[in-house]
Amino acid sequence: MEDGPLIALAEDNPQLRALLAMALESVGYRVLQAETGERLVDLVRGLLLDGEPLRLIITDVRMPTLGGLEAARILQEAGHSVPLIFMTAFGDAWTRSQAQGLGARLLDKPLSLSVLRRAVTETIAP
Amino acid sequence: MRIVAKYTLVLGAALIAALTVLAVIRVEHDRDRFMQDMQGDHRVLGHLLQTGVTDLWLDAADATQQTVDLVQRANENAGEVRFAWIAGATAGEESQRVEGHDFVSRFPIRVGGAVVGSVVGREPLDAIDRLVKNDVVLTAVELGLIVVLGLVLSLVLGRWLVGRPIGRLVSQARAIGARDFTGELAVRRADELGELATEMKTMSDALDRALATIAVETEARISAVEQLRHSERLSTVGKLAAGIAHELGTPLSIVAGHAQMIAGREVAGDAALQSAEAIDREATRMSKIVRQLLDFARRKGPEGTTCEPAVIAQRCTSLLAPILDRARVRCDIDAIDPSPRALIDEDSLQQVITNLVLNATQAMKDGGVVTIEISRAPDAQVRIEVRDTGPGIPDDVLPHIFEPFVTTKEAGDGTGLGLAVVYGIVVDHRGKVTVESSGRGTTMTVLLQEAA
Repeated sequence: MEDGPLIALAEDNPQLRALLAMALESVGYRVLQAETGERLVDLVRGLLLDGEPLRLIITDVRMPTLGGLEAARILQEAGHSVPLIFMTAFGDAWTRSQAQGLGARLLDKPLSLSVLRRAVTETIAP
Repeated sequence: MRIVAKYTLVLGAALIAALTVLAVIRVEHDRDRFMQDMQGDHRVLGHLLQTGVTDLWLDAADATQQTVDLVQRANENAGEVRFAWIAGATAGEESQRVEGHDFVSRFPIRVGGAVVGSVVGREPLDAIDRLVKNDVVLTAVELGLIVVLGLVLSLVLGRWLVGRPIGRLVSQARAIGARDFTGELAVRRADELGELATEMKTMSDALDRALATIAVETEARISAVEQLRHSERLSTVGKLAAGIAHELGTPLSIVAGHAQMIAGREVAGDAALQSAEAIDREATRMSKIVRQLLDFARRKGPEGTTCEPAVIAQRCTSLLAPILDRARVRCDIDAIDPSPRALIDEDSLQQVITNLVLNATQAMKDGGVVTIEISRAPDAQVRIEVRDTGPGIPDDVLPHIFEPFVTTKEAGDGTGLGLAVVYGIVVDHRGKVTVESSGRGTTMTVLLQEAA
C-alpha cells in the first residue's frame, strides 16, 4: 500500500529478509530493504535527505562488513533519530546493553512474526 | 599592562632624576650669570661715576655738594642700583661683595694720593632672587611637561606595541591550555611578538592534531579491548553454543515465519506452496548443521583400526558423484603403489575426505578438477592431499579456516563446520592437517600415522 508507514529493513539472509518484508507489507507497512549495514546507512540517509517520513529501522545485528549496531551508531551520530529495532541470535548481555545504549528494542531470533508485528506497532505508535 | 606600567615607572623616575639634576645645574648657572651681569653693571656705572667725581674733586677742594648732585642724577638712570657718596677715608680698595641682603660695590675716589671718599653702589639681591625663582618655575614646568609627555607616550605606545598583543597571546595560551585550538593568529606583525604568535599558532595546530590522533587511537584501542573482552568472556564451548544459536536462529526464524503465515491464512495456493518449500529447505539446512555438530563432538573410532586411504578416496568419489557431476567437477585420485595403510577407521577418514572434497568442489563455482594425492611422508606418516583450482582462501580468513562457523561461502550456503570437523577427527587420530592457498587454488594436506 502506498500510504502505509515507511520501514527500513536490513538483514543479510535473503530468504529471511524477503519473509520479514512480506510479513510487514501484508499488514499495511511500506518496507525498503538493505542487505548490509552500509546499504542500510545509505538507504536511510537518502530517505531522510528526500524528506521521506521514515518511521522505523529494523536491522539484524550481525551482518557482513558493517553490522547493525555500528550502522545505528553512525546514523545517530549524524543526528538522525529514527526509532530502532534490532534482531539478533545472540541473546547475551553485551549485545543487550549495546542495544539499550542506542535506545532500541532487541528481538531474539528465532523470531515470531506476531512478536515482530507487535513490536513494530508499539514503536510506531499509530 | 603590568610590563608597560613597570617600565613606564622606571622611565619616569629616571627622567625625573636626570631632568632635576639638569635643572638644578641650569638654575645655578643662571644665578651665576645674573650675579655677573649685576657685577658688570655696577662696575660700568661705578667707574663712570668714579671718573666724574674724581674730576669734580680735582677742580675744587670740597666738591661734596657737586658729587652728591652728580650721584643723584646718576641714580635717576641707574635702574635697581643706588649709588651714594660716602665721605672720608674708608676702605682704600675697590670692592664688590654681598653684604647682608645687598650686593655692594665700593669705588674709592683718590685725589692726589689720598682717598677723599667712596662712591658706593648698593643693589638688593631681591632682583636676583626673583629671577632665579622665575627660572626655577619655568624649569619645573618644562620638566613636568617632558615627564608627563614621556609617561603618556610610554603608556600609549607600550599598550599598543606590547601590552595588547601580549594580552592577546596570553588569552590564546590560556585557550590552548583549555584545549580550545580554534584561535586565529594573535599578532600579525613582522617583529618578535609576531614571530611568537606564529609559533604559538603552529604549536596550537600541532597539539590539536596530536590530541585528535590520540583520541582516535584511544577509541580504537578501547573498542579493540572491549571486543577482546567480549570474545574472551565466551569460553570455547560458550562460543560454540553462541555460534550454533546464531546459525540455527535464522533458519528457525524463516520456518516460524512461513508457518505462521500459512496458519494465519496470510498466504494461499501457490504462495502457500512456496512457503512450504522454504520451510522444507530450512529444515534440511538445520538438520545438516545439527549432524555436523554431532560429528564435531564425536570421539574417534575404535582404537587400532586401520584402512587404506586410496580405497576410501575411491569410495568418496563414487558417493559424491552426483554432486560432482552437477558442479562440473572432476575428481582425480593419484595414489602411490603399493597403497599405504593409515591408523584411522574407515568412517572417520571417509568423513574427512568427503568434507575436503566438498569444500574443494564449492570453491570452484564454474567447475574444475579436484585432485586427491596419497603418498608417504617422513616419520612413518601417510600424506593425503586434496587440491582444487579455485580462487583460493582470502588472507584474512586463512588463519581462522579451521574454526567452527568460519566460512567463505555465501550467507545461507554451507555450515562453516566442515573443516572444523576435519580438524577434530585428524587431531583425535594424532595426525596433522594444514592448508596452503593462493590465487591459483587451495591444497589441504592431512598427515596420519602409517599403520605398520
